[in-house]
Amino acid sequence: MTSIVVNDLRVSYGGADVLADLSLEIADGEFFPLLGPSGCGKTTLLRTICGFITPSAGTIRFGDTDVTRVPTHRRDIGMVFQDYALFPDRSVFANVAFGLRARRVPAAELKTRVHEALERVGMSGYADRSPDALSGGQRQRVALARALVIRPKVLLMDEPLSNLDSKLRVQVREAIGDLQRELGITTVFVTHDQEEALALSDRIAVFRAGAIEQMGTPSEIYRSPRSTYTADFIGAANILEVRLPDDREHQAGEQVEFSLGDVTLTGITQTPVSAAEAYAVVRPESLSLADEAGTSTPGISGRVVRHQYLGSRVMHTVELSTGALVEVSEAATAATRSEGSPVRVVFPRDETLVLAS
Amino acid sequence: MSAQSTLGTAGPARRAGNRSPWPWVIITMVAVVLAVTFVLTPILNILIRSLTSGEGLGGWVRFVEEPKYLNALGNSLLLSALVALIATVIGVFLAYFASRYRFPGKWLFTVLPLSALIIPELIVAQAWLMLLGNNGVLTRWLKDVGIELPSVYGWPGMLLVMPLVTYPYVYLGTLAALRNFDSQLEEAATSLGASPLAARLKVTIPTILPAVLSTSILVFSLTLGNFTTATIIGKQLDLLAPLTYTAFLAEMGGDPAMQSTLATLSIAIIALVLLLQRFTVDRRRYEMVQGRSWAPGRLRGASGAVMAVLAALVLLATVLPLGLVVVMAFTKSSGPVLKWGEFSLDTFRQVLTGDPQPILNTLAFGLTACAIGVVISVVVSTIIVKKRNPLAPLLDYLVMFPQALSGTVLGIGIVMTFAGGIWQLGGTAIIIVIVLVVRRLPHGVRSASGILHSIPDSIEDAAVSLGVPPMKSYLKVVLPLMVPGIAAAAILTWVTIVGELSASLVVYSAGQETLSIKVFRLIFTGLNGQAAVYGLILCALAIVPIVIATRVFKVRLFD
Repeated sequence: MTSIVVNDLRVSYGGADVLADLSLEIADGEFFPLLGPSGCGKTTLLRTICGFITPSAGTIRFGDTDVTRVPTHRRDIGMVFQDYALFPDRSVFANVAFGLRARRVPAAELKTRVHEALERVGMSGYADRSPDALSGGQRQRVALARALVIRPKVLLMDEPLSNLDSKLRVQVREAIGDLQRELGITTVFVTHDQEEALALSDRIAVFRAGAIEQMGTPSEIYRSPRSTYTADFIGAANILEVRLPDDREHQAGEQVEFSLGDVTLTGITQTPVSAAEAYAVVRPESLSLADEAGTSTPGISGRVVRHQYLGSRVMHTVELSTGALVEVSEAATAATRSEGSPVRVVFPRDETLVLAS
Repeated sequence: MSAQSTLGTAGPARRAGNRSPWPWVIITMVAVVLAVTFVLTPILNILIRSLTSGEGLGGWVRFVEEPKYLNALGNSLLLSALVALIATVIGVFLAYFASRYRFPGKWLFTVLPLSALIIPELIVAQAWLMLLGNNGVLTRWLKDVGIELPSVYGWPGMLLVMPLVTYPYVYLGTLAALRNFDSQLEEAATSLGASPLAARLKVTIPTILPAVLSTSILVFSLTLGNFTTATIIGKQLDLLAPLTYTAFLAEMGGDPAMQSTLATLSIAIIALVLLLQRFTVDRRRYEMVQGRSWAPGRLRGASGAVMAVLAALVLLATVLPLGLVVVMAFTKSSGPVLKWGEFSLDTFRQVLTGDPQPILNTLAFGLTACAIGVVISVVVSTIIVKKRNPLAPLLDYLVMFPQALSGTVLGIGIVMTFAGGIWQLGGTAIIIVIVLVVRRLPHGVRSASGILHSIPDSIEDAAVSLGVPPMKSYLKVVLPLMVPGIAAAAILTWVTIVGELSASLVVYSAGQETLSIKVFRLIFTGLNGQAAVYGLILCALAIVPIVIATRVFKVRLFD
């Protein structure tokens, strides 16, 4: 039973902090994605948990054991790499057996366990093949078997799907998810692909510049982002600079009025907002379009500049009277509006989020 | 010998803060100390002696006053430029021909130019002398028919032989660039409205030119430091490298003023050339995203015939020396006189029973130097590529220094440093091994680094994550993956060590003649029959391992 507890972790290269006093608790058996663009520190955190990087401050615990000073090879981890990192001169069997041999597992047991592991990932017929003779998806399955066969305390994956094409990615993703649930092994998973993170996990950490920007369930993060960064990173978002009538302190969750150009709209603050400048965030599917004539609903007038039919949805890009562009995604049954036609963009007050940054 | 250092090609930046296991830090420190001792000290010694020995300012005053020296400098620069030009023309032509056309016997174009790199230069020079020298076969035959050939010694011979020895560097470099060239670039240019000719001039040539130029520069610096051909065929022509060696002989045991002055001059010129290359040509090298080369076309018409004849002539001239040496080795000889047309094994028997020592010396020194060189190359390149630490860049620079040294200069530096003083290695076999190892160091490190770059870091990380300690992971997982590459590098090192002359000639003492030294001395005493036998054995020592490695063990030597 292994949770991962990261406490005030700091990693610096040449004076610059890549991770700054990061704390994080991953529950036993949890599947935990670290999500963020490249260079945000998520891989550094993973490699520090692995032990490849020594932190300059802070601790890492696996359950009750402090592993901060324990070298990688004694941490009992399973690691899956982006480029698979299969040993090219060894057969699939020898690759999977590698960690067991290092642990001096007796030959008979080793054989059973390797075959079990290969079966689990659906690669049982491939034991004698060379990694060269496998496809990308098959290689990653073997790499997964190699990491799992040693029954590690935690499983760490560094962008395991990003070298696969989109169809395979979904397949391997599902295989990883099923296996993880079946084995209940604590898993940390680095990805820059939000769909991967949303699909696989109960809880997500979004990284920004060496710190966790926001952590929560996928729907929390999607519905109540606490910064425009998160809103923009997870899903599509219309982000508009707006003005509040005064710089009074607003609590989170408060209903506030704000002005966008010369129109006053209402939204809900997600974080405390205390300045006159703020941001309004609305998902494209929250917005709707009305005819310019109907003025009863709170909205702002604009002009359709692009119209895209996407099968189940129809997407309009509208240039608001303030000059800003917003995207509006409606069910395909909604009225199709031609480019250039004047419209009114309706902002629903419950789904218009007001953020400080 | 090329100017690229392995610097700046380290692994991704995110490895920077990784654990740097102690064993590697200690190994790095040892490596730096060794590099300072065996690479930096000899160079510094030369530079210092050139200023402090002799009557004020070393030999610099004499250098300016005696026309012989300024003359040699001018000759060397002019010769190197001309040879680079001719070699580039031949090499580019051959590469273009081989990559653009289909024709029977094309495999010869992959094998024969390489043979010019394998056959020791010494043998090539000797063979051309036997053919075109004052007493040469062709010279006499033509004289009998009434045609008087101009003397091959000096400029004509140098301009004939040096390009034939050096063009394969240009050929291989250009061929690689042409193979990597993405022909879609030309198509893109024509689709944008450029005529096919304009596309070639404005797109193809500029992208390939840097690769070609850097091989031309390589040929320039090889020619500038060339001792072997310059001594055998240049003869009375004053050139830098032979003059440096003469100064070394004249000052033996005395004040090393002139030798260190001339050596410093040659270091300065080559260093300048390498720097220029680094800041001009290398900056303009391009990565091709994908290489879809042209499909070779059929050779036809009068121009096709002319090209085919020219290409065949070059290849013929390339292998001619080897053929001639084989014939000479089995030709009956008495003293310096070769009895053409009469074959016998007598000379062979004489050599093998009379003085087989050079063969044994070559094997002993060569194998030792090769083994040491391989180990050092693997360790140093591992530090530079995989286990970077603050000392790694320094080490990288140090091991690349010998690039700026010709064999003669390196030999002089090593003798100055290790023959006397606290080392007292003069006259020992160790000093020969040192010279051979240091001379090949940049090549060895570069090829080992190339192999290491192709092995992803994640392989070693994977082994560590599976529970194997870091050092053991390296030895168990990374090293085995390097073996094929190391084998190839070791064989190429062996080939060049076997044929090495200019540096070992400076450091050797009586009883330690290697095959190349023996051949060199026999050529000068006129015993060409014996020289050919030793030369043939020398060629065999170079060629046989290559044949075995590529045929039996399927080692890929030239990629």
